[in-house]
Amino acid sequence: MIPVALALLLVLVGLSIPVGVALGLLGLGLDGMYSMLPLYGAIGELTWSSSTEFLLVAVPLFVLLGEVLLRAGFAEGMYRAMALWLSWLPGGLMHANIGACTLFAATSGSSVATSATVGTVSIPQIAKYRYNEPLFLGSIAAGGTLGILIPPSINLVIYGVLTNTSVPKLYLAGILPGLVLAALFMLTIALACTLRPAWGGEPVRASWGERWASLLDLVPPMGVFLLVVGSIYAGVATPTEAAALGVAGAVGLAWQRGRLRLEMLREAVEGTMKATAMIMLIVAGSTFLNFVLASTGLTQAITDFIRGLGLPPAWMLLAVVLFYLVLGCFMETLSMMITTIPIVAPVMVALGFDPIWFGIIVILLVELALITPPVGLNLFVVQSVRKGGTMGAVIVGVLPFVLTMLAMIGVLAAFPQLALWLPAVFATSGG
Amino acid sequence: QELPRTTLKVVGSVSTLPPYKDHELPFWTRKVPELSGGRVTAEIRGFNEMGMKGPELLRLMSSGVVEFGTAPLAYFAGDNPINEAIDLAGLAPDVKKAREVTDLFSPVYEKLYGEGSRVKLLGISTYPAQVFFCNAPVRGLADIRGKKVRTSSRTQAEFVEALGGSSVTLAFAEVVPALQNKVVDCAISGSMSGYSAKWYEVSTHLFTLPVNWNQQMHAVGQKSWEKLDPQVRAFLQKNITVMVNEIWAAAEQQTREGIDCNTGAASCPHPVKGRMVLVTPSEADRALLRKVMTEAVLPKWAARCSADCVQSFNATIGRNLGLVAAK
Amino acid sequence: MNIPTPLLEPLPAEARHGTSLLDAALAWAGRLSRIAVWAAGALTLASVLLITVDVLLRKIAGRGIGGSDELAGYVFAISTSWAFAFATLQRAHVRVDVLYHRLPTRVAAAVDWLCLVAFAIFFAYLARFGFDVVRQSFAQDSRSNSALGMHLWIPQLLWFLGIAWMCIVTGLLLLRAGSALVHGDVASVQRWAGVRSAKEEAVEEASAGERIVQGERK
Ligand code: NA
Ligand code: NA
Repeated sequence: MIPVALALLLVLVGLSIPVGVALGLLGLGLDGMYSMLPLYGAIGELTWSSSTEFLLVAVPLFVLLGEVLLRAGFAEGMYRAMALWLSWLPGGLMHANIGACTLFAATSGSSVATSATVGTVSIPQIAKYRYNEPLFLGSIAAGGTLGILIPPSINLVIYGVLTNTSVPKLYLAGILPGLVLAALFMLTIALACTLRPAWGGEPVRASWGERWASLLDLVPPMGVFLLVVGSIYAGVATPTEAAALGVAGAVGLAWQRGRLRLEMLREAVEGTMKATAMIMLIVAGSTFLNFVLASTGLTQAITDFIRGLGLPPAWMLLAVVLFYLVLGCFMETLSMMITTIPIVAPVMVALGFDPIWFGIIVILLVELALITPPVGLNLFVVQSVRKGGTMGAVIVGVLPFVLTMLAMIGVLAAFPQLALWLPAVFATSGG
Repeated sequence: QELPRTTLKVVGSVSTLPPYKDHELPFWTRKVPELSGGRVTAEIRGFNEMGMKGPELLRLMSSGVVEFGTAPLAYFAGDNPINEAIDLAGLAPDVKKAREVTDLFSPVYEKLYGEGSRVKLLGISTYPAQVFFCNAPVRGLADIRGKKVRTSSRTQAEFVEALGGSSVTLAFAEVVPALQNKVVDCAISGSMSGYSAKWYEVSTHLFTLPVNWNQQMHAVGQKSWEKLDPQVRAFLQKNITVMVNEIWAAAEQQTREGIDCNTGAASCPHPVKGRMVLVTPSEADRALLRKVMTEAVLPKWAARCSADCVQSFNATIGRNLGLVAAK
Repeated sequence: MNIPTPLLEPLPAEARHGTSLLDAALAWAGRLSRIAVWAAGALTLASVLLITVDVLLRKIAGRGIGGSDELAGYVFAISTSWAFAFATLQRAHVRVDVLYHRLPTRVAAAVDWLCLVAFAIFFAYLARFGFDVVRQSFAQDSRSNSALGMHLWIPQLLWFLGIAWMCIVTGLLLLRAGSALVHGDVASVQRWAGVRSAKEEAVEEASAGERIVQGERK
């Protein structure tokens, strides 16, 4: 059954059938071939459930936030400032992409929203400064994945709930690896652009006066950023509510600067709805497929296989990494976590791995899944924000970052303290 | 006499919480094959692992998409308020009463599901007592006034509102960050569920007055049930009843264990202990609980349930507890 | 309300093989879908406002309105389902086009049509069983299990209608692209069901960019 499922999916996706539909049809097909129960009857209930999922409501809100900032002209200013400051580095604005993603990750619990927002703002700059398009797009897709490693993070919360691991400790554990990964991404960009200077775009000549003056353009977006982060950590709002506050703040800011127009809002809304429909179609298809896989016992069979390997711990870790690497190519991440974590995590903990540390490893693997083709939600979001050109460019551009992420998993395996140090510090200080 | 070879598909309750891990999972994956000499085997997954939210389970069982299913009755309160009848906030102050109330009302549910939804009820078990986890000093029930409390059902929400608090709905996953950042002051959940989810790390006061119980139904789609060999049916019904009895017996002990472990009592059998302040209910708290239940929770529920429903309640639970719900 | 330029987009000229009626229907479907998306956006902004007020009240008065999160969930479901048709007409659903771009144009056109068939099958199932969700909620008068006690069939019906609308639009697209395919009109298949080309995008983006710049100068 596993080879049939994979072959079917490859055919469907290879035919360029939209991924959400392909996942849904695969579910229907597997149901018809392998299930004694009429599983297709659940498609309505499951889609309604996933469509009202409060944890996902933040996604369109963050996309809308980015669209409003862009269409009110704030994003342009922020980016110009970043260009003035950063473009002497090999890779110029691509470092700004990673930096913006890291900042945005601290406000958003979702990788998709992070990529969408930063992408909406930055993609128009590719042509302007003649960057290497694939690498630039790759930096946004990869940078966006930081959204779930740096707290707040929907996926860390889900891992915590599935494994009964402390969410506050997971949040603390995610911070350092998140920053290290961001640094490694920048290193990757700098390396690539040192080897191929043409990829790094046109440097922007700037005087120090211009640079300092440009900082003023950073104020409005930073204000919105502080509003979102501040409201979460001051205990005023949940992460989802904070997203709504951010939209309200952005709209208010646009109004205050006299840039709020019906036409502008309409365009922002159209862009947001297109991206949301695209994402939610994938979530719907994937939720149903996951239901079929679980009902027919396929996920159980795969995870039982992993559990039954009985390898020594280090090899087991390698097996798990490979397992998620392969699975991540074909499954949407939320479904993937919900189906496999309850079985895999206890096995790893029983082998002596720290559950907090393993949580960060899992998040890194989930981040990887977000950018590996053929089913990689961040790739799709970047492609959809970009509106044009072939998918292939995004896939090629993200490859160096895939390697970086694999290296990061190695680093974390070699130095578990990277994740465990902060939680330990706060535990002993009584926090 | 050997049972015919049978493979069953079960959708269990929330896979991360004690009733599933300690009872359902071992029952279906170990006990059933063992007791049947390997003739009856089952695959089980929690409904949360299947991407479901719970309320759709009854519908999916009746349409034959799901064979066996377990879910809290509160999830079906929206379909029909009668599903709240045995679990109204303040109705059963201890586990013995909760069991009594449940047994009294089971025949009503059996009939209801059998007729309307084409689902066979196999038994009703429970979670440990639902208590308050607060990240603010609380000395008794009266202190809920002015607090923001995460509730997970309509009856809990009405209970909190009647006490002068404000009820907030949050996904289970959002509770920990919300308690930590004080987006909410308190959250209501099973004493052991809250321990499993490590709520003790982000809250300071555990107020152990049992608000309600969150009973859950174990059921099977009528069509799937009838397809089974009569011997298998008898075998399953008998053993599910045994499991349900075990869960009830464990509920009291787990309520105790949850309280001990959240507050770091020496009697906690688990290695990790919380340091929450234990706040035990006084007589005044129990009196207030009863008062809020009879004056606010029960009338509100009766108003949204049908005349038949209220009458069944009065004839069974009402008679036992000396309560009359007015329609 | 002044109508923006995309609404006045002229109907495609190639009404050669008796497809003018279909073209007209699709043009109307496009307008309706766009208006639906604006309405969805208005609803989303309304839920933003509601959440903001709720959060502020909770902070200032210690007591929110309550239920804003639940309503936001319904708005999310409804606006998503109504956006499906718009996204499909805009060809915004991302397709992995690695092989696609290596196909001869006629084969690619056939694949485009096949994609519409896939959409049709998936959304037919979704509509069929999505309708069951509404029907059962209505029959039992199901309410949400929260203080709000929302009659679930109301948001579910609005959600279902979005899916039904998507089915209608997919049907129209199937007919239009199908007839074009039969007549060897590859350009029309591409226009209605193809993967968006960079050139098309560049034109649209440029016009959108111009509008932003003009807006700033005003
Ligand atoms: Na984040
Ligand atoms: Na992937």
